[in-house]
Amino acid sequence: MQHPWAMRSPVSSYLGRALGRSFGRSLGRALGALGLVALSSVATAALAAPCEDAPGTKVYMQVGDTQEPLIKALGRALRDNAPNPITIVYVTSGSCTNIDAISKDTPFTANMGYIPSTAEDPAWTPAMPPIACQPPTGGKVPDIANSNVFVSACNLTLPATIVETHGPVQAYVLAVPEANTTDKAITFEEAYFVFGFGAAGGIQPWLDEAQLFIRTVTKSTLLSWAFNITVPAAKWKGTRLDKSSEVVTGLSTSASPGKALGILGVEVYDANRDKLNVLAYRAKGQQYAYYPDSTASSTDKKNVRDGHYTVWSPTIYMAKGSGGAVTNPAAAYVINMIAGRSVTPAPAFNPVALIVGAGIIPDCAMRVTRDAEGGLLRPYAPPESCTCAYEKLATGTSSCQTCTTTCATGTCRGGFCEER
Amino acid sequence: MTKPSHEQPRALMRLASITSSITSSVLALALAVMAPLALAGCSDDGGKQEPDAGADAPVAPKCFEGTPTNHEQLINACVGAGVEKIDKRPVLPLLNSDGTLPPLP
Repeated sequence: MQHPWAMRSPVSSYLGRALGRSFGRSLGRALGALGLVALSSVATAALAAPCEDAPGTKVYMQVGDTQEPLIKALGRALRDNAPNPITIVYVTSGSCTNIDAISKDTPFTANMGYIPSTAEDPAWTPAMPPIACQPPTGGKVPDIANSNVFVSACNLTLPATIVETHGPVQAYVLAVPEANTTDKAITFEEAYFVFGFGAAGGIQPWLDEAQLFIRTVTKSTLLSWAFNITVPAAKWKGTRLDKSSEVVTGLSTSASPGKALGILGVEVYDANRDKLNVLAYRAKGQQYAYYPDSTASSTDKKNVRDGHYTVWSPTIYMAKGSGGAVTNPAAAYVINMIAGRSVTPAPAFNPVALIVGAGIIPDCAMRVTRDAEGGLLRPYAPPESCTCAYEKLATGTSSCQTCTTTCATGTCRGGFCEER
Repeated sequence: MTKPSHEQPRALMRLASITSSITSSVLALALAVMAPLALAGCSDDGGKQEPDAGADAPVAPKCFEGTPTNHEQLINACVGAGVEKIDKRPVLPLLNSDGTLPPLP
């Protein structure tokens, strides 16, 4: 019997209109295949126990694979969180598929996975897979769905019954092998010609299309860059790879390091700085090129946070609710925590530290925002700033005033006088 | 050696007298030369020259000095000395003559 995910899904119809009918059909099949691949990551145990038997309050999540490190770390901390213990049960799938699932109440029927508590499995670490479990009979509509591109980038619209919350920001970079110490920057126009025209674009030194390491069309890394340089995902020239790790390998082992160029999530680059160099990027209409960080060697993501580095997307978290309020209190607790907001009861851990540890930027540290993939930036003031805490966690230092209870100006939070 | 202070006004008056006939023309010439440069260093949106632009260097792009309120101002806002910025003027062989990008193949 054909698996339901392998059939042509509504997502393929939406994407067909967005990207061209033929490509949409191909992408629909690809999404189905990706669903099967995602399922396989947690569906290895044929005799998995029911997910409902996992201890305590459960929150079911359907997330993009780039957010899995955060979900694992957060899941462990939440399970051990004495003030409000929650078990995260999750599965990974493509962003557009996840949006479609929560919008249409599509139950997830295959095995999922949950994060064990320290008492249950003291040896478990986020580097390990979750414990496989079976969803309830008839499947489970996720309490929380995650996308790493804007909903509009999938040509979908959320119903009024779904509350959309912006979570941490995911930045993307163009990287070259460490051996390439000549090229420091790339402009919007260069990127347009390199990836839109390939060798015919004539942009030195990126003339060898086999040395352009890109991703497949459903990956947020490619989609985000595609919107930023106005080259549709399906039209990119280069070697399409399924995983970020393959891009890292392609770059770091290239026989022509001077010609190699690849796209990565910034957290992947950060973990491979010993093998790669990041390029500064000059956006359309921008005077200079900037790195995501203040400099090539710093780790503060300052230019992402203040708008000088433009290639990023907010991670999107969706749950049922109305008027901006999520209905399920446990889901609201998790979403607010991911969004960098205060939660009640206060957790026994620092959620911002988990977000920073996963290589993404909490919304509360951002000073710019946008409303569409690759769209125009505008100033942003988060309800509860965490800039001081972020800089301390990301760089080891902070110029902010420390505090214990009150501040002369601003709000004392997390030991720092934050802006608000 | 510095002249006594009571002699300075007289000397200045003599100098003024000698140069009075050419001062106005020199000033006019200076203004004519400097005005466009001064205007180039300012902008009606509060921009300023980057501090590293030397007298003989090509005119550096302007940065936005005020509080940014829109996309263009945000991406071009002035940055502190600790932020590395790169001025790249690439060769783009396929760029249209009017500076626009050609459609994708």
